[in-house]
Amino acid sequence: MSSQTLAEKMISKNHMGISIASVTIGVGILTFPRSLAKATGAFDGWISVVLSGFCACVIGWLLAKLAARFPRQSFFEFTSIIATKPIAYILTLVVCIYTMLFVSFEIRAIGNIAKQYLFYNTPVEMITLSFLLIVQYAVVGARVSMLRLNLLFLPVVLVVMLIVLLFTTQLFEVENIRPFFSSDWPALMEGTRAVGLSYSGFEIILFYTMLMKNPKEGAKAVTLGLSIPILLYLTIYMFVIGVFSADVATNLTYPTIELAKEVEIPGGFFERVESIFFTIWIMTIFNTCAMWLDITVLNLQSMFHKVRKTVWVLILSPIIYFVAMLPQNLVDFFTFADSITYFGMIVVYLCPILLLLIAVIRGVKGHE
Amino acid sequence: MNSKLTTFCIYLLLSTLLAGCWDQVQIEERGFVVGVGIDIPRTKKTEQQAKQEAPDKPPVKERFLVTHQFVVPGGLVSGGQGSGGGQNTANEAFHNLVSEGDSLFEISRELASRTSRAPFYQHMKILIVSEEVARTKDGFARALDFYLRDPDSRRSSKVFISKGLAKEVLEVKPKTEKLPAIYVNSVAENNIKNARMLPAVRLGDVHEELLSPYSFVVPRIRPEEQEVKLAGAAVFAHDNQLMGFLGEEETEGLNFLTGNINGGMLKGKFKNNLVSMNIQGIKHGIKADLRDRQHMKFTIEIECEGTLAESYATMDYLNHMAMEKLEQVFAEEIERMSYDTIRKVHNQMKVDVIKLGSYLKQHHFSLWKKIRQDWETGQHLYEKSEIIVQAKVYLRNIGAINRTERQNNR
Repeated sequence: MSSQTLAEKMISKNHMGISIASVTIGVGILTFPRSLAKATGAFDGWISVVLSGFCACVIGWLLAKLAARFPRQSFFEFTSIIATKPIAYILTLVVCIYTMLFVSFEIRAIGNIAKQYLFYNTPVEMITLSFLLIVQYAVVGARVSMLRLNLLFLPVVLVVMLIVLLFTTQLFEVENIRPFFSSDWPALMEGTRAVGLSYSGFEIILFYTMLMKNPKEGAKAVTLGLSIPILLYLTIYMFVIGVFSADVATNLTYPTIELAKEVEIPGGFFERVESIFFTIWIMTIFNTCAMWLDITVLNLQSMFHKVRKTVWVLILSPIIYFVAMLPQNLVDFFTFADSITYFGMIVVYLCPILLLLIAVIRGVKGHE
Repeated sequence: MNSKLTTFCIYLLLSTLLAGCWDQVQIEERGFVVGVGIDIPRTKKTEQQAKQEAPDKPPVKERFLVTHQFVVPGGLVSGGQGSGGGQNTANEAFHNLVSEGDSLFEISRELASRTSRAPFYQHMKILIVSEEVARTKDGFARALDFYLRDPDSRRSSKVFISKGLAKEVLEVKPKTEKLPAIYVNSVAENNIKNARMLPAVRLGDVHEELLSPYSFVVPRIRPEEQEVKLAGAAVFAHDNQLMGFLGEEETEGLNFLTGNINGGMLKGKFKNNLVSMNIQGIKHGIKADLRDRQHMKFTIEIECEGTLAESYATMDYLNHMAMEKLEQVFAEEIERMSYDTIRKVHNQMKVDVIKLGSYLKQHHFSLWKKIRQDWETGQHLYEKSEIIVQAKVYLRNIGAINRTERQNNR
């Protein structure tokens, strides 16, 4: 850790972009085709994916602008410059709660889905706990090396996804995707809202810009980082509808998993690819989780300098685990997920944009 | 020293986390289910017995008799050469277990009390639902719910409707394959050779049809002693209830009307002699005249391509006139079969298995939105519509020879 120079600890624009893509691709990828198909009832949901992605890009651009105004300064520091110190304390704590809840949500999702499809008898508590332990391990180490895992994992994830989609082409039916442009605007807007929940994650730009070599490139990084999930979601949605039809997609709990399960590679040996699909999916969730936990620690450390990282991880983990065990069933869990996202919209979208507005009006800028 | 001891203890404690796996199932403990047949029980015996055991249990409406076909791996490898003795029952590669109950999950779990290997559905190839089950209201959907909901089973299992008992399909003793289920599965893939078979319908496809407002067809299967006959189609109305069956020729006509033909043969009469053609591909298009909603007019255009496979008429095929006449003969045959099917599904059964509703939805969505409720139900616009078939045949080749025998000089 100490042998690295400062420049090596910094991350580049592309690295930031890939981190944003990794954190965005999470649990949402499995469920969003269902909510989207339910809202639009047709193939037209792809318009919602693009619209929603565009909104995310705009918000991300604003967040990047805010962070770029204060290079090398943490979220807590620039919030206290723009607003006052007490407000900064409150806001940063709320942000910490949000990011922590996000970790709870992700680890519970791993537990739920792994139990449903992989381990029928293993208790959810155990699956979740072992996953949390690995995430802890990743977060306690050096921050940059954890972020480098993104560079390692994302290509694998995308390649496997591509293979899965490639092999489902034989099940693709054109009848399922027609008619085009049949949904009306309210339905598309509802779809935009539904898929928007799957885009949350790009707000890490607020907290990680301080690690970037050139903070001015933050906006570009967000665009790059979001274009990967937008394209991925677009293709996945098209294939889910093409293979299943909108009616069926509405009635599948995890359409993307079912899509992977549909794949049968002829020859017998590699007949089923869903095990590989689960592997890569767990890899993406691992990245997402590690980054969220790291951000929680980062924010807490910026407020309380004296406490060590390891201590924070050990304090937070039991709380995260406890919250993750709160939802009692699948319906509870999905409600939990939605409420976190709405909470996040206020905390990490609306508040920072207000901060940016104040900063612009008052002309506050960080020191170069 | 003390800290070393602590570390050691921690490692020791942590190692307990690594040991053990809740979900370990050895492969030889799995009972691979390759096929499932769902019937309605013929006798009330088991039901009465169950009633005696639990008299206060509320009575249930429907009961299922389910046959699970398990693979016996030992029977697969031995090959029958070493053990000798022809039809040795101990050497069979499959094992059928029949069980009765009112829920399919209950039946599946009940099997665990009878077999050493608990059922494992990931390799289920075929699912056969008997005619009786499919005829009851919602029976088809109820029979399939468990297999769709179970995260273990796959949407790619093939679904058939049996004329007669589904159990008997799983009991056929094919000479070529060791497992009846695998045999049926392979037969279902032969629709590239025979136009009288419906393309295989997967469990996922059935789910799609059950959720859609249209009528649909599922391949029909008929068990015999040593083989099955997989021809014809079971017709389901828009309320997912079995209405009736289409015969072999009617199925071929339906395949022509929906464009679901990958290969097969076509017979025709040419100058009172039989000629037959090998179908190599068809193109299918629909034109609709929708000006009068009460009397919509659909023109189904079928273009069929193939080669001459057999001819009892001895004549010179290497000239334009003969080819054109021959093409005409086959086109008329396609039209005749299609009209036969239309007569049955359009005029008698009044079900839209030709998928004209789906066509309207895909290509005339604004109209479809208005008439969706009045298509097969309500005003019955489907019944009132008119369907015209126009077939065109392209005979590309006459085969290796021109004539078989010398033409009579008359």
